[in-house]
Amino acid sequence: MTMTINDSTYTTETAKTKRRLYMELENCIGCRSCLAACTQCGGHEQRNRNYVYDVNPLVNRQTMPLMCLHCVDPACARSCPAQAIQIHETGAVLSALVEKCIGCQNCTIACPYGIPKFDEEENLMYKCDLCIDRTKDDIPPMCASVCPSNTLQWLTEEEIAEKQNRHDLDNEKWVTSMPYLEGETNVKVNLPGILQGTVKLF
Amino acid sequence: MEQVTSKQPINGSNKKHQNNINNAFASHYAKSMFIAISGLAILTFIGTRMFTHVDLNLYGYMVGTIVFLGGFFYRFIAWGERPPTKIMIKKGIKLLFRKSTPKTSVDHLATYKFIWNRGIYRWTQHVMIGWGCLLACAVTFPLVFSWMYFTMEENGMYTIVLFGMDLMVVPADGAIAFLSYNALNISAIMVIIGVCMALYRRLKNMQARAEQQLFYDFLPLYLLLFISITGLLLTVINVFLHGKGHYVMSLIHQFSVIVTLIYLPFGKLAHIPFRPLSVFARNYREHYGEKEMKECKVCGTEFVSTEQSNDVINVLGTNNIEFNMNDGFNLAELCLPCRRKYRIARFSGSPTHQVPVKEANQNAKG
Amino acid sequence: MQRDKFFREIENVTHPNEKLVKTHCSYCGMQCGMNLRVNTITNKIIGVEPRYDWPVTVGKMCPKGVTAYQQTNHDDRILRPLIRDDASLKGTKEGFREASWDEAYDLIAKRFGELQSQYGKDSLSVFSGVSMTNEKCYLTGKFARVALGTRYIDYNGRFCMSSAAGGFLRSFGVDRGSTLPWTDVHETDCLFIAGSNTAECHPTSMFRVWAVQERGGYLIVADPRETPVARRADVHLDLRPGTDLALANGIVHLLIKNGHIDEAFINKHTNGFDETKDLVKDFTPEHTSMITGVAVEKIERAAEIYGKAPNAIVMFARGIEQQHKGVDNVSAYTNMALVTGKIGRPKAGVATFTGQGNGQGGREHGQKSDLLPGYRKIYDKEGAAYVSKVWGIDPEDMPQAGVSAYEMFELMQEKTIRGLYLLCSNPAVSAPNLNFVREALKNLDFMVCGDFYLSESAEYADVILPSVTWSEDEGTVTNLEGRIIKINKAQEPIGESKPDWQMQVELAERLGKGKHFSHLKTAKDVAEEFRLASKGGNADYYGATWDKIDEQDGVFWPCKDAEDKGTPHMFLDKKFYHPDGKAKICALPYRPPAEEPCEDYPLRLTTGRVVYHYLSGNQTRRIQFLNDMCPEPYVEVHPVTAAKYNIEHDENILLFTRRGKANYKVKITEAIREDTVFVPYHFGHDESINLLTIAALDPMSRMPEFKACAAQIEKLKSGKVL
Repeated sequence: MTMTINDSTYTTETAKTKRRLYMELENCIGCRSCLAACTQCGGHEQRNRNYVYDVNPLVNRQTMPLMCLHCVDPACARSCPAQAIQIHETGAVLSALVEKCIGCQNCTIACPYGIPKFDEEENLMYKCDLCIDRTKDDIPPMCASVCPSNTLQWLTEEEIAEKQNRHDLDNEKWVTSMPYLEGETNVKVNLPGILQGTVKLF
Repeated sequence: MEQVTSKQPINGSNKKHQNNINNAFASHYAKSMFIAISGLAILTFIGTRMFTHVDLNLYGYMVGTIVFLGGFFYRFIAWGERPPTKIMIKKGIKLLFRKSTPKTSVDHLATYKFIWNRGIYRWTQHVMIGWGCLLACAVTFPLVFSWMYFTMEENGMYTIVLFGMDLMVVPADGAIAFLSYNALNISAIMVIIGVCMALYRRLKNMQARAEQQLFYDFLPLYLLLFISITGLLLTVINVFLHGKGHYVMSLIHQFSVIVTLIYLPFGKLAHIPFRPLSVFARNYREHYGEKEMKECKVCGTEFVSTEQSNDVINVLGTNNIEFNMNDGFNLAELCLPCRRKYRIARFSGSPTHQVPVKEANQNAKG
Repeated sequence: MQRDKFFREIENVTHPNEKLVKTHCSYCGMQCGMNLRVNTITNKIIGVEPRYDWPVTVGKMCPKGVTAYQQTNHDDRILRPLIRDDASLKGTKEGFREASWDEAYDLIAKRFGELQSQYGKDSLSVFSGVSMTNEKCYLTGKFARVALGTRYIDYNGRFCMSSAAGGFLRSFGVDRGSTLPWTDVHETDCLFIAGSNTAECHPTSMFRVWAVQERGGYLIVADPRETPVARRADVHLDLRPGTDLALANGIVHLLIKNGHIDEAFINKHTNGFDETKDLVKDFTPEHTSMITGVAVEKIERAAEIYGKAPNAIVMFARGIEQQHKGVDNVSAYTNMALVTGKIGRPKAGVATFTGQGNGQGGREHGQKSDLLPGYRKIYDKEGAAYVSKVWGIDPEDMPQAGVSAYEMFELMQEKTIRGLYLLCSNPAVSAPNLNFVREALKNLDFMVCGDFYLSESAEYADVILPSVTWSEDEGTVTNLEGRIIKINKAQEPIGESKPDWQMQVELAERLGKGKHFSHLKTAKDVAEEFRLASKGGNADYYGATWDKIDEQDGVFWPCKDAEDKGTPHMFLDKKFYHPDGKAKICALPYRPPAEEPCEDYPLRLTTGRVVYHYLSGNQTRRIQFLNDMCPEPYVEVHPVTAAKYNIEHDENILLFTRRGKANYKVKITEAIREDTVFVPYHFGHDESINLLTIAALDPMSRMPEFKACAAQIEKLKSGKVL
């Protein structure tokens, strides 16, 4: 697979208004506010759906969030025998439809990032739906709303492109898909190294 | 509605006659349709004692059912052709005779234990709608195809006839008789209660609100409500209005049922006929889990059956999705925490997945 | 009002049968804006929604803030007054029975009366806190002095903000935590952060901190640990705990030597430069490095960056303040701003990260042993006379200054103080040298505790009065910027709980002081009287009406009258609050920590917070999410040190000092100095690290030295808890 950026298919107008989740991994301070807030989203039913990891726990305090990246061609949905995982018109890969999910857990095995969680008792998969009740109206998802460090941001295509212009030094630190991801995603990621390309003020 | 009975014979015959009969049909769809309609015709032939006992008032339902079957097979085949579904159905049928199948079936299809675990309210609502509908179908369809009918003897006894055989004779004013002629009323009330609960939850609950769509989530509820209310009104008309307006109301009721039947395979209610797959899925996980478990290529934890890991890899392969890493494993061979940590490692350049420290709590309750 | 690049109009999500109540978080000094979701049928708080339109935090919240709403209807709430008849059960949760308010008030009035008639007015004491509104803080001061007539009132700010207050008063003549609004922070060119684990203690500052770096600005962090904010710093000054004064002097030395000083500013607006210059002469990078353990190049680089930065903000927190030279540390770091003139203009200044929600407002209005409302000194005759007039008492009856928080426990131990009214604080966890403090609490003849949960300190009480959480009352709070903001009521008090101000009014009536209190029927009544009482003082809130706070997104004090919009930036006119209008550059000789490592206690123990808990943890340890995330304390140890003791990650060890011992799980990390160990302080009973900390007090602020003492590790045979 090759790196594809489909930004060009968007008109200038959508680039100004269409917002995406953008992750600035270098900013993470490990507070896990995103996890706490996840449960607050319309009906996430007290279960958070994302992850924050200590990168090298015996060495330093670096942490990174790992959320559903909302793949353009999601392996979870591809592997679902019941077609329970739907893709919203905004590109969000939704949580399993409760009436369709048959509890086979194929999605948890298929997801290259290990995102879907499974509730054995309820025989039901649940995952990040990008707070679809918020994002469908362009209200930022809970995680990006509360993130105190701006690791998670809700940005327009244009704003993301600006960031890419500043920080993408063509050394694979700027990641929107390959080689650090397994395919194109709706969520954009900037690997640690945000400050590369930043010119010091003095 | 009558989900269990209609599907398994179809799949069974599909498999048995695959080689010789397959070539006679233009498609799976045509074949299935042919078999289903033939089956229906034979059953009706037997039930009506060679078409001598047909209730012509109900012919609208018959047409509706046949249209429904067309839609259903169309949906089912389109669905069953998807690689992951195909695997699950194929292996599910093979494993159908596991010892645990009856228990799993009862849990999944009759008592809805997994819904109980999602909440008593939702369970009650689902039992009301589910069993209300099942009961209604169990009465309606045999009547429509004249598999079952009632006769009233002079002696005040009441005979229930099934496929031309006298099933039982009961006193006309007894409890069983009462339940039989009120079966549809009871089922209507159950469905109305269940639907009202569902509507209330949809209006109030945030999860439901977040993802609901008018046509997908509300239409089926309104349809069920429509059927139940018009059905109850029929009783009201008969009992209190001495049959005034019965004909119009029965047409409306018939119309509501036909619309629902046609809609059923395409909307949310489609989960009814497809639900038995969850029994297949459970058998699949149990059987292959007992056979051989996959050890995580990083930490060695057994996290899924080898079969499922391979199946998923293959399924994704048919979609041109491959997750073979340079580190010598496929991502489906890592347990979930390791897979996540591996990604962090890819992001950070530090070997997060190899640090032998318990991961921070990722499931803290809000 | 001041809206910056982080602000965006965003609608809030509301659900049917639900309303949003605008308010602020109950916890730290950031006072993040939040909306509480309230069910309009049950009238109960059910959740939280970001407050995108709050200019300081634009919707952001840390995990404590997100889950703060769960305190209000928590199962652990105390719903009715509790009385314990059997004093032998003190120090345990046992023996309490529910009682009516009347019975509780009667008992308190009787016992307080007995003690005062037998041992004098000053046998009673009030120990308060600043995690509550200005109105409550104000009334607590009045209650102590008017209703009880005792001199002994002090508050937990002595374990928190008093060094910053002392340092600012000495340097500027006024104590406002930040000389500039937080909306300036991301626009400065250099942040010098000392002794602040900003990412964990004030997380919602972080997006502004990172923004400085993203703009090309610099971040310098002085901390013995490589905290999440230090990890990304351009320069991390990894100093030994307790050596800040040397580091600050060393940097001032370099600023002077490198010619980064602003002589015009120094001459016109400051005193004391020459003495200071003389004093810091000895603090060459090499000398500084020897004391602090920080590499010479790092010190030089930090001084160079700060010196060259067009605008810079010096920020600090408890790391430098909770030392027995905390006040000196504050003044010493403030010197950096004064010698370079980087103060008294936008985007440059000095700020402290206020720890408690109302750490700023709560210390200004009369809970401190020597202060009266409006930051008036109690021994300032004129000020005391003014406040007496507002309170309707004879100035002669105004009690004298008392003693500081920790010293009150000493007086309890020697039976000078026999009765205690404790509220809004949990000293049985948060005070230093806990073995002593817990003994002192046990030693009291009679203790009343106001709290909404049964805290570790409430376990020593004879009577517990059920107070309310922040969301069941209204009032103002002054955040870390010095911005007065409004807390709104989202639900009625549950059970029979009451706001503290109401208890104090009713109790004052029982004590025969009704005429000074009975007119206070609502929180707003208290607010009106309090504004008047602060009028004319340094911290003048007279113009900060609730309406103005709503209109302007808060009001920065001083705000003298109806026309005054408040003062977001201090000293814009370069006028400081000393009588001559000049700031003071202080010459501060270095003093080592009170307890230096030795052969028996070779390690330096420092304490601090984790992001999931707040102060003594009485609130946050009850919140499931927070407790799931951090259920127990641990000790951070460098792998080299761990190897010396032959201990491993997750192993249980014994940590001890001259004062106490406790078992902790080891957390191995390279993000700490080899000579230092760290334990978070949020845990009670046997897990409290304050069993080990030292009560060496700052001579001015009476702040104990939580941040540095000598400790030793002992490997346990089994590795299990003893």
